Amino acid sequence: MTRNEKIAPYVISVANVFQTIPSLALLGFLIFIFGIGNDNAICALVMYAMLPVLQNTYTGIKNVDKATVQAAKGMGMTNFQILMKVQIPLALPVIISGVRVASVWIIGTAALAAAIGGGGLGRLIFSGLSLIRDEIIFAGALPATLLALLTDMVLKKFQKYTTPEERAKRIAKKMKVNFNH
Amino acid sequence: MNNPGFIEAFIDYVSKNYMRILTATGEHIYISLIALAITLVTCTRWVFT
Repeated sequence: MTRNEKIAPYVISVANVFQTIPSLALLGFLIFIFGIGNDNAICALVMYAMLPVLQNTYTGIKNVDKATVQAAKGMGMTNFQILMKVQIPLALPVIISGVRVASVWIIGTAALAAAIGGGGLGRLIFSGLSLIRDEIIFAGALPATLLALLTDMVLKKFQKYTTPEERAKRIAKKMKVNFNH
Repeated sequence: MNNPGFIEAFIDYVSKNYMRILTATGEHIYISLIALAITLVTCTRWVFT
């Protein structure tokens, strides 16, 4: 996508289409292909999580300052070196932001896996719903919520850790220590 | 959820079925991690090729 920009809108449109399908309907439809169980749920989750990761990675790489890329080219870097040493490090916070959104979506939507015979905390939630027992629903919903919040928090920290400003600060700190020695 | 014995019922359920909750949490993490890994691999391939 980053090398051939013509295909980018088509790929993102396909991911957009997946996003518009209701999750339960998608799980039901995939039963015909994958049958009942975790495989079906994993496939549906992948389809759902694609858009934020794809969109953010593409936008992050595309929005790297052109002057920086030109400077890297001027220094004699190959395309692969530019990607690995310039574009990805600069785009990393945006990429991780997409992964963060996707992770929270996946953890939230994974509860629906129980509807098509998969495992997970959704099983507790669905059994609580069928027995009309709030404590069982809560016993399933609480860990799922905590998992999503914890993942979001960890990835937020990591996102902050990878920003160019933070990296520059760390390098400056390291250099100062070295100079003192 | 607002009925008076909800907290007691919840604590009672969790103390009796903690292994079931832990197993379900493990399965939930397993499904989520596999889905995230496949998503990342697929998207990385699509974006960088």
